[in-house]
Amino acid sequence: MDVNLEHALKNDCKTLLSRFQQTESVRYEEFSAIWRDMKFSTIFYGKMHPTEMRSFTKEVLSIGTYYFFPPYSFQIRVGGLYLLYGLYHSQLCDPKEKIRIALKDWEEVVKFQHDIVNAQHYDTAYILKKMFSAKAFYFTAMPRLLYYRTKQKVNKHAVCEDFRERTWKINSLVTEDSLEEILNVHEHYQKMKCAISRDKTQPDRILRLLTEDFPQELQNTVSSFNRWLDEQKKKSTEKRPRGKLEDDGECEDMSRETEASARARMLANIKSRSFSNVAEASKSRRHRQTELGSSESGSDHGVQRKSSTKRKSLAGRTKLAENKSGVKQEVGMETAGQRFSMPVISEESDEERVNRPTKKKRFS
Amino acid sequence: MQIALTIDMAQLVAESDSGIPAYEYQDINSTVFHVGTLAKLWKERLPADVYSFEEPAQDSSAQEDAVFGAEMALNSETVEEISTLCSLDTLKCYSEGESPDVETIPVDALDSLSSLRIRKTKQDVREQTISKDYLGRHENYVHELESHALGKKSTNPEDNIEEGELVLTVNILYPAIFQVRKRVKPHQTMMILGSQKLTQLRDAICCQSDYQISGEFSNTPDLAPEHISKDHFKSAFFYFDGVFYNDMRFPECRDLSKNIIDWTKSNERGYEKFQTARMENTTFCDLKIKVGYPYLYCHQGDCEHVVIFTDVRLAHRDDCRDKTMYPLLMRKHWILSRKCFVCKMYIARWVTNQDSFAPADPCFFCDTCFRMLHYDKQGNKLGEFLAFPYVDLGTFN
Repeated sequence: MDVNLEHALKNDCKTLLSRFQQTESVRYEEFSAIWRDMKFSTIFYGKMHPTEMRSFTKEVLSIGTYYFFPPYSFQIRVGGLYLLYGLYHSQLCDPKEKIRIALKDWEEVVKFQHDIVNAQHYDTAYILKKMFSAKAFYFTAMPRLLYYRTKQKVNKHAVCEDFRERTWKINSLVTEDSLEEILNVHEHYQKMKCAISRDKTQPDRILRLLTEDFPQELQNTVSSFNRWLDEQKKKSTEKRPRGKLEDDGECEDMSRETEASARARMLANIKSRSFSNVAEASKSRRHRQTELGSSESGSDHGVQRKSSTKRKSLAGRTKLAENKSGVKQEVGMETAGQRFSMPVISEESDEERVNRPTKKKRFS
Repeated sequence: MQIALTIDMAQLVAESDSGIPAYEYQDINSTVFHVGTLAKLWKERLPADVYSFEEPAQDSSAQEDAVFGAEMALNSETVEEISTLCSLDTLKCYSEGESPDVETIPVDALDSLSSLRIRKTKQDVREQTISKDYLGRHENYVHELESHALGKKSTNPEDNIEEGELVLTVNILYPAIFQVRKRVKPHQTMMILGSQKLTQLRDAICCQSDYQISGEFSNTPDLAPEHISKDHFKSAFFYFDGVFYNDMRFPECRDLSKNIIDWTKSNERGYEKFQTARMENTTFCDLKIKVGYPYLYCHQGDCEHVVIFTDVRLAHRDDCRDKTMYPLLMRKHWILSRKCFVCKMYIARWVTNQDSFAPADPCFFCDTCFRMLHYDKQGNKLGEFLAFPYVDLGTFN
C-alpha cells in the first residue's frame, strides 16, 4: 500500500485516540461520540476494487491492533479496543476481514480482561465479549504476515510517546524498606555527628548539612503523592454512566457499595504493585502534579529530593567543607542548602528553572 | 465470558516460552516452533466456543447478554442499558435517511480524516484521466481466486475440517534461475491444513519444468510422446529447518538429498547434522518451522523453488471448510501465454531452434502453422531445424 496513505491512516487513528485521551475517561459513550463526530466509518468509503478493499481493511485493522497492546497506557488500550470494534463492524468486506492475535500476545489480552473486570468497566468488558462471540479474531502464530522482506524498508511502527504507559517510578524507588533503611542511616549519621562534636547531645552547627528530620519529610511527600493518586482514581471511577440508575435508590446503594469496594481494592492494588496499570492521569495532570508537590512544601525546598541525588551532593559537599574556611563554608552551606532544593522531577515549573542558573553562578 | 488464567497456564507461560513463536528478526521471520504444539497451546488457552464453527442462533444476542449479566453480577436493566450504549447503532455516522452512497467519498468527513483526503485526490485524478473505468479481468481473476472458496462446506460431513485445525499459508516462488530472472517473485500462494501430508502440497505445486517433453522431434513430429517430465522424474524433496523430506512413494524415486548430506559431512564444513524423513509419512503438524523464513522445494533433479510459510493460524468459521479443496490455491501469478508467431492466435505447441524459416531463435508455433511451414503435403521435412514440443504454462491459469 502507498506509504503516504499508510501514514495518513496512522495519523487518523492517532487523532481519534488523542481526542479520546483528552476526555480522561474510558467510557465507550465518549469514544463513540468522537467516532461519530469524525465520521470515522467513512474511512472505508470510496470506490475500491474488492481485492484493494480487502488489503486496505487488513492494513487498517493491523494499525488498530497496535494500540490494543502494551507499551500503551490503559486508557489508550481501551481506546484501541473500541477502535477495533468500530473498524471491524464498519468495514465493507464480505465476509469480514478479521483481527489477528498472536499466541505471544494472548497473555496481555487475558491480563487486560482481568483489569477491566476488576475495575468494573462493564461497557469495555461487554464490547470485548461481543468481539469474541462475533468471531472477529484469527488466532495466529505471528501478528503479521511475514514474507522475509529483508531488502524492503519495512515501516516499523513507532510507538506514540503521548500514549505510552506512564509508570510511577517513585513508588519503585521509595518503598517501605528503603524508607526504613534511610531512617536507620540517618539516625546513625546523627549519632556519629554528635560523637565528634564538642557538645555530645547535638551535632555542631557546621555539621548541620541537611534538615534534621529528612526521612520524615520524605515519607510525608511520598504519602501525599499517593493520596493525590487515589484522588485521581476516585474522580475517574465516579465518571461512570449512572444516569438512569441514580433515580433507582437500590441500584445507587449497590453502585456506591461497589464503588467503595472498588476503590478499596484499587488502593490495595496500587500499594502492592510498583507499576500502577490502571492509572488514567493524562499528561496535563502530570504537570499539575509537580506544581502540587512544590506548593505543599512552600519555601522549604528540602522536600523535593530523591535520596540518590542527595547522596551524591553530600559527598561533594563534604569535600568542599574540608577545603574551605569557616565563613566561606557558611556561605557554601546556604547555597548548598538551596542547591538541594532543585526539583528532581524532570518536568519542572518555570520558576524553578529560573532559580537554577543563579545558584550555579554563586559556586563559580 | 471470562477467560481464566489458570495456574497451569501461568506455568506454561513462565517456562522458557516453549512452543510460543516470537520474532527472531523483527518483522522478518519468527523463531523455530513445532506446528502441532501451536494448535495445542491455543486450544488450552481458548474456550471452545471462541474457535468453534457454530453459526450464531437468531436470538443469540439476548442469550449472550443474559450470560454476561450473570457473570458480572448485574441486573437485567443495567445489562440492557450497557447493550444499548454499546450497540452497533452508535457506530453509524449518518442517520437512516441521509446515509450517503458507499461508493462516493463524503465531503463532510474530509476535514477530520487525512487518509480520505489522499484517497479522494487519487480518485479524482483517476476519474479525470481514465475515460472508461472498468475493472480489468486480471483483477477480477485475482479477486475470484481469493474468495471463491470462502465459507464453502462439503455435503459429506466427513470431508469437513475439524474445529481447532491449523491452516498454513505457503508462498511458492519461481525457480531460482538467476540468469533468467533477477527478482525472486512469488508464483503461487496456497493454503494447506495441518493434518495434510507434505505429498499433497507437492502434488499441488505447478511448475513449468514438470511439463517438459524431452526429445527432438523434427523428423518425427507425429510421434511426440505424451509423457511429461513429471511422469519420468518423480523424485522431489522439501527442506525444512535441517530436515530433508524425500518423496519415496514410487519405486523409481531417488533420495535427491543424499548428495547434499554427503557433501556437508565431508571435509568438516561445519554444518549441523542434517536428517532425512519421508514426505509421505509427515504431516504439516509434525514440522518444526520458522514463519517467514525461506525453505526449499527441489524436484526434477535441479529445479529449486523457495518456499515460505507466511502464516500459521487456527481455522476460522469463515474459511473454506471442505477438506478436499485443500491445498487451496489462493493466489497465482498470471502468466501470459506465448502465442504462435505466425497466426498470433493459438497457443504455441512447438518451439524451434536453428530454424532457417523462422525469423527468431527460438521461435514458437502452433501445431497447424508448424506443420504448414516446415513440412510439405506428404509430410517430408523441409529445411534444417530442431523442433521441440512446448507446453505453455499459461494454459494452467
